[in-house]
Amino acid sequence: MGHLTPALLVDLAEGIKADQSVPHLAQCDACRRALAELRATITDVAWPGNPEHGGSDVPEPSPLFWDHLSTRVREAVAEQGAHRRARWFEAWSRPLVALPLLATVTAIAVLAVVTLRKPLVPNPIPATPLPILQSTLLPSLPPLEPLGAPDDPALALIADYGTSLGWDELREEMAGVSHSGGIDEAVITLSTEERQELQRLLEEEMTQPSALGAS
Amino acid sequence: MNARWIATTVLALMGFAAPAWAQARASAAPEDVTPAELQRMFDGYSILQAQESLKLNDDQYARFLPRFKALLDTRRQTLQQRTRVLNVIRRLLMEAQPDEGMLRDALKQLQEIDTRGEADAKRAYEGIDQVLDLRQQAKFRIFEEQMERRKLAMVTEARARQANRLNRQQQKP
Repeated sequence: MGHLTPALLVDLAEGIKADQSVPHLAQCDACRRALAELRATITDVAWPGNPEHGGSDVPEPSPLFWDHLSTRVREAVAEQGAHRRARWFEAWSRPLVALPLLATVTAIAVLAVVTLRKPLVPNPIPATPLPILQSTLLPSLPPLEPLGAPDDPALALIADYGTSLGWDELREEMAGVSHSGGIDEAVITLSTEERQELQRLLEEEMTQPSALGAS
Repeated sequence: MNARWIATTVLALMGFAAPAWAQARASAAPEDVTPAELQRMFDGYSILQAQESLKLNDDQYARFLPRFKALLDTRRQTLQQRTRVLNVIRRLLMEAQPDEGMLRDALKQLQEIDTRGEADAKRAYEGIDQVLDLRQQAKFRIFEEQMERRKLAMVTEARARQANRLNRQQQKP
């Protein structure tokens, strides 16, 4: 068996366990000595300066002691902080730390520059209308008048034509949209006298040089 | 050979003989003329105008005339057939209970006339383009548009002249 553990020694010193319950103690001088020292320490802490309880006589500190102690503690704390800061700088400035750190920062910087210098690709125009067109924030337009309403602009346009152009002029205006064969249909609607008039006109045209001229 | 001579000959063979016919009619009192006669006169007028407008040489003009006439005939034939079917449809729709089977047949017939008419016109255009160079082909499209406008203007003018004549007659005491 090995020497007594610190926990067992404390138990023995405080009397939680009896010395006889631990046979090793009778056989080992080192453990007996350690137990005796531990008991002496406990006695000093519990009864300092009391010889009746086995404590040693410890004089009271000087009245200035506490002020000095306080000052020294503040200075020590301040000095330790300075040391800590100095140690931090020293730790970071060590080549094993500084070089990889510098390399990492450089790599990040290069990556950022490359990314920012990448040519801008214009966003493709979406096939569907942008949602902004459907936004409720846009002012809503007044609803259109139903087709054929009294103030329908299309009707106003027709009315303008009706007042400024005669029927024949209107037909002429619409000539551009007439389909092929439209003239044949127009001829059918002519009265006998109008057809005779058209016949005369055609005869005049056909005896003259080209009425269209060179195109 | 003179181009105008060619035109006169071709038109005479086609039944127009426009200049001679026109000169003969100019001195005579106008008689009643049917829409079909007026339509043939319009065709003759277009044929005569084409030579100068397209700057066709004699050889081109001789080959161009029957092809142009074929295009005009194709259009007129399609229009006549179409008008006939439309009249049938109009008559059917005037009935209280139109025969749906007949309506369906008429619509199908109309579709067939349109399809055949477009194909015939396309063939006629191809025939015309074969005798024209590129600029003349382009001019021919413009020429057709101008002719349609010119014909419409003449119809309008005929209406206006007759209206003026009636007004003058009414104003006379």
